[in-house]
Amino acid sequence: MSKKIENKIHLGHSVNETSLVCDFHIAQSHYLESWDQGKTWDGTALVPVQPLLAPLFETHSDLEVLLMLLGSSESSHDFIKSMMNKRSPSNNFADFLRLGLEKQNPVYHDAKVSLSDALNFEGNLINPPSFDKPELLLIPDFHAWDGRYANNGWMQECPDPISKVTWDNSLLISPVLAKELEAKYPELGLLPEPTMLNKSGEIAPDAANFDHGKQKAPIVRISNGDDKFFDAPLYVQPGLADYTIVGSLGLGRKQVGRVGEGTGYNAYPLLNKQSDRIVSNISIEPTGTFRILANVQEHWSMEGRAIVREGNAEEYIEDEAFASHMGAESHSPKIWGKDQEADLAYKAQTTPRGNSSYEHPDHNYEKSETPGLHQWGMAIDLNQCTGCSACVVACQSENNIPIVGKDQVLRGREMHWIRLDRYFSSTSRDGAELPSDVQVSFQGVACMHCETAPCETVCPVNATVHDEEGLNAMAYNRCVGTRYCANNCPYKVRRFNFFDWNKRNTDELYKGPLGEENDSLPDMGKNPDVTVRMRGVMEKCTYCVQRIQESKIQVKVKAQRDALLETGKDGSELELSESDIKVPDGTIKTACQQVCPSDSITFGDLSDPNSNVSKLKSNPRDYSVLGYLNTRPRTTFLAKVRNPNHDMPDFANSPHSAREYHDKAHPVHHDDGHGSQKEETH
Amino acid sequence: MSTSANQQEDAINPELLKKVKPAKWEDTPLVLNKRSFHWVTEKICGIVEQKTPTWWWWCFITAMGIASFTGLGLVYLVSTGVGVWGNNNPVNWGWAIVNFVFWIGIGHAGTLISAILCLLKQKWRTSINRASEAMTVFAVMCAGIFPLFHVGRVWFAWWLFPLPNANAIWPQFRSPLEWDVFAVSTYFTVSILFWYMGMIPDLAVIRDRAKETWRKYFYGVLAMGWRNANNHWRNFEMAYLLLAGLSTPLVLSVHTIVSFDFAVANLPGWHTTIFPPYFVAGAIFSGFGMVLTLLLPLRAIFGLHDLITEKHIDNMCKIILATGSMVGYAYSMEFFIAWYGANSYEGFAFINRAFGNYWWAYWIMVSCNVICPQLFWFKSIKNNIPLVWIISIFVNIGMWFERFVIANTTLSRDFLPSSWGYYSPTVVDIFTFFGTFGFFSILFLLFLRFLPLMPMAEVKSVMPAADPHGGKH
Repeated sequence: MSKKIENKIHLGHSVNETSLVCDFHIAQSHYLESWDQGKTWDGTALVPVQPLLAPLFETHSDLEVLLMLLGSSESSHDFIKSMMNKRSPSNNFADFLRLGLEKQNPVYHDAKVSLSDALNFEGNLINPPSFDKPELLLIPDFHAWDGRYANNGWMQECPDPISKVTWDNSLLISPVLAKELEAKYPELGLLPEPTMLNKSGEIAPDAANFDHGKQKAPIVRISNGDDKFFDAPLYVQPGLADYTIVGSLGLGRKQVGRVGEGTGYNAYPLLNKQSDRIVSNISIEPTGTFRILANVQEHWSMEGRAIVREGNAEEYIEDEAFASHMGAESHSPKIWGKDQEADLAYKAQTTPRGNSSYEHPDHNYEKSETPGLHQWGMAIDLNQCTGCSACVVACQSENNIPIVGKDQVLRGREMHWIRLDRYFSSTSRDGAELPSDVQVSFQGVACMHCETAPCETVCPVNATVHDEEGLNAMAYNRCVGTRYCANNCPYKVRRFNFFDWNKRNTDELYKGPLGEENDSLPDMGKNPDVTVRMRGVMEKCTYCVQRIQESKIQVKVKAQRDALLETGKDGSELELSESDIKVPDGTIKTACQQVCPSDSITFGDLSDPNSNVSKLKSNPRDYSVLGYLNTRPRTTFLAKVRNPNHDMPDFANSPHSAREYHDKAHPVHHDDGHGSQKEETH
Repeated sequence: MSTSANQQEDAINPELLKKVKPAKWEDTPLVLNKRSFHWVTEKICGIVEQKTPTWWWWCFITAMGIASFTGLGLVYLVSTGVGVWGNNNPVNWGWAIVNFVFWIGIGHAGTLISAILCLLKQKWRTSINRASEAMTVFAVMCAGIFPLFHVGRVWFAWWLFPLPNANAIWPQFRSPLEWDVFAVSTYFTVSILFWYMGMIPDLAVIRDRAKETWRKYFYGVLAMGWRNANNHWRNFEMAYLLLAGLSTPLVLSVHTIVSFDFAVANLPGWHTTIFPPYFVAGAIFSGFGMVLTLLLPLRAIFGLHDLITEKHIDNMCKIILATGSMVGYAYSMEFFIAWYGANSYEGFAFINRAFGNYWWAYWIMVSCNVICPQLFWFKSIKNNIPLVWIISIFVNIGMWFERFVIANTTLSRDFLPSSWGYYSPTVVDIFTFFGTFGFFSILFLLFLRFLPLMPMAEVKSVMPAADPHGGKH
């Protein structure tokens, strides 16, 4: 920005770095507070855009500012109205707003896609980066994109899908570079000494130093030779190219607001004028300081446990049900005993005891012989999950889940009801060694709504109970907070309100009714259909019970109205059949399912054999995580099938995670026959 | 004992005796130096009747200071949230439950001494049972603090009691925490009853000797009109025996149920059938450790060497040795079963216990609980009172670590490696626990000051003076 320009004005939602270099800042209305017009999604029409609410603060929309600059005294509403009248005088503006429809002749635009840029790509393959000349790749940050979301708490607390770090960005380096750096700077403190369990191959070594469970990352100075530099904490990332360092742009902002303050480092100094995101020949110097990173997943290896089950395409063709031949339940007595092969709907409705001496509770209505009308369940296809983490934020938004801040994440108290587990697996290696070439497996984990839920039997006050439709329900009002349920949950999906997250900051003493009134603004962001939990109570995924109830009510109301019109009967005379009040498949979408861009999550009624979820659960790839515990989870997973290229140097007959599982599950048989079949080809 | 030995000697063929040359069996008397009944009365009542010693005041004020840490810690906890402790997900319990089990375990020696040893007619119990029972009651009070305050909403903790309510919601009777409520409250009630009832004849003695009016009233009320009448004694003996019978299953049941908090859960390392006997043995082990820790200084301060003799100490050391070995056996059996059971999660849980993220805690536990008490095989060590005292403290430390190891290693690394975490306590955790020692000391000091430290009547009944014929009729 040239200094010769006088009266520089910045229009923005918040005072940011640009505002600081300007002379004036104009508070900008949010787009939901502004009249505007825009193209429809398919580009066929230009339509007015109506605000959702009046501006909360004294702000100005883009349009208002532009009109002001033009010297017009017209309001944005009148302007948009006049635009529409000019465009199509026959249409009534008020009618359009009411109906949301406009009669128009659609205009189609052709989309142009050119492959020429991609085909002309020339990589820097002649001078590959090396230890002396590493290169830096700058990517938009997961939490903040280019920096615009740096003050968004949901984004900050949503863990980076690969590094699992919240509230910070880190500088990713490969294990190879990490090792060489440690050799050069022994004081760096990047990787921990291998422990006894690492050396014996019991568990994989940590990829970072965890000091009392808190990742202690050494800060280094990255510079490019032209006195441009930034300081950033290192994070060892298996799977990264050896001498490529990945930094992210968008955090470490100076003027960002309350939430984003003090998060991350700023990598923009090394972004050159051409905005080329690859910076070659950089230097790395230790600074001797450390940064504590709030990493939500300390351990990266699945340790050969059959949690995410994977097979290669050939294995799948050979045996579609390969996933059911993994895990302890594949060689333990059958979970459903004699009822093992019974169909899904029967199992869901009756909770058969199988061969067990103990009767399993059936979750019927009180004093009723019949199970609930629906039996809810979920299927998550691991093949389709990309790890994008949209489900995490959608759930947070839908269910009024508080953010807890970096300090509390460090203490292991993040509140996400659905989390995305990320595991790395590799070819056989020395137990104390970090792998550098890894396969990544993602798994979204939320409450599994186990039919025989371990959490329910240990709650001393009956605060978590089963409902007749198979939901594992939480009665927040009844919960006293013993946290026994969370301990006994094998999936560790229960979240406890250690503080009154919704009422005050954790560093303030609670003053009860004497304290200050809440700021009403955050409360406006809450979903009115979902209870806001107080401190001291447990919470967890409800399968979006509010959406379930809403749909059930709507279907019932419609059925009653139809019956009334048809028969003329009302009230107690009205007889509705089950099929009338059953919610049609696909009506209810959980928040995570709704936003999943790859349709990995399917939710529905298991008592209906034709529902999507029933069909998916009948897929041979379907399996329960930790099924051998007889928890009978209602959320099951569809095993992942990989299709690697045979000609690639890292090709292996089985996914690495499957190899790790077989190595641990059959350590004796591995060498004699069983192993030769699974042997790696390289 | 000596009587029957003599009788046997008479019955046996003297020719045989010459061949065998049996060693002379000398039973050491339970009260040494041929003390008289009066001496015992003076000794025990004297502790209560003397002018408050200066050391008592110093100890009392220090204890108050230490106890205030618990008080302040709890106020901060309740006003702010359980988050002031170090608990997290996956380790949702942390120190609170460790401390609870630790204190409850200590409480077990008292009931064992007063009930089981009473039924087994172990006469040596008389000089230690009163103080041990007091210890039990106070330890259970300390224990109760933790499960009560560890809940998220302590103001609703009464929901754990089966009180009829408008919502018709009952507690969940399948939950071991619910069983805990009954087990611990029953135990506390019976322990108090037992302790108090046994004290009545002694309170009457102090009442009768009282010179100040407040004493007369204070002890008069507490003594409940005890007149030393024959029918009083008959009822007393019968009630005492009944209570002993009632308490005996409690010694076993309370810690069994406490162990169910872990064993009923499905987590690797918790879900094991060995827990009940293993916990009970551990509880008795820690209880006797604490009895020695408390009584040895008292013996020195009040000059009770004739009442708490080396024989008493020797016996307690033997119990510690026996229970310590049981605990050590349980540790090794856990490993065997984890291997034998061939469940990989279970196997890992135990390898992780010994060599994983809390390996130091595990080895502190093993050294204190398994190795330390083995020293009691040697008579020279059992007779070395300062050394016995030091070992008893190691036993206490070891048993705290045992609970820490059980509670935390399992939770910190259970089924899904993605959820593995690390737990460490906060300052509030540490101070709240530290303060309970102050709270315990306050109660124990008050007990020393105002209540008879030993059951005079019972001690007298096992003295040589109570048997004027010297075992010969």
